[in-house]
Amino acid sequence: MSGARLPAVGERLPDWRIGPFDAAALAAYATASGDANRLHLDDDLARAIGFPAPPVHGMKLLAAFEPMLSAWRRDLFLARLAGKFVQPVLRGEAVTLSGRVLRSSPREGVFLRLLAYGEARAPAIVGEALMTLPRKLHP
Amino acid sequence: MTAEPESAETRIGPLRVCADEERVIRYRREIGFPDTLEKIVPVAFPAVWLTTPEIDAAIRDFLAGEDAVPVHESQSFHYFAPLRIGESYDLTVSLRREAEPPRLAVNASLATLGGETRLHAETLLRIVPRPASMGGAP
Repeated sequence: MSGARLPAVGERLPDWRIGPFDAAALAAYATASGDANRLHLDDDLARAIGFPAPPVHGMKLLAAFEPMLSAWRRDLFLARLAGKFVQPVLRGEAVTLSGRVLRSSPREGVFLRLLAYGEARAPAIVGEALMTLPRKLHP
Repeated sequence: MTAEPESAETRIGPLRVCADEERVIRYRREIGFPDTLEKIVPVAFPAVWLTTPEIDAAIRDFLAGEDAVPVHESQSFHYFAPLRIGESYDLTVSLRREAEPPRLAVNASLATLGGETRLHAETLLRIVPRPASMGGAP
């Protein structure tokens, strides 16, 4: 990664706020992604499972980290993105995405801890990312 | 729900998929990318291909006879090189039932038509008993 200034360990990305997402937004994501799970679109089904409102697609939230990471460092390639869906974010909730550099080296690239919070401020997604240059990718 | 034993892998594919420009643009918009002229395939875009009827049917087969629903527990994408808009790829998927905790592991591999691997993705679906008030399968 010569020529590129690497971020320091501990550097925090600016918080990235998305949503709140209404029913039309969830329907639009369902159409774009092909995720036909009606749990995200059906109030009665959501209530039957114990949610006061349908949950936002976890993948919609996980995928939203990429625009944040891209805005932060456009010169790095997002080689890995992973997340565990810890608890749902419900329709109508604003979401905050955050990131922090855990490791940073020319050899290994930049490893980040990612968190998504709903309005409850408890993590909805605990994730990680690896950003590097394409030539540093190893099969 | 009774405990299910670990299952042998079920393999699907290769399925020919394409990073269709219109679909990529629509997906980019829905995950919050600004509208730009950049032709970048989002790293999470292959999730679109994991909803294909062949894979959906295989998941349903795994759950056949169970009063349970799959809940997305975790997801990972590991790239070896970026995808390009307009390019076609071969998608190979394996599904494996895990007993404890009860879940379904869906592993996907994406390769160029020349056989170069571009991506490994793993989806974990937790198998959750269906609440009595939900009635039949969605």
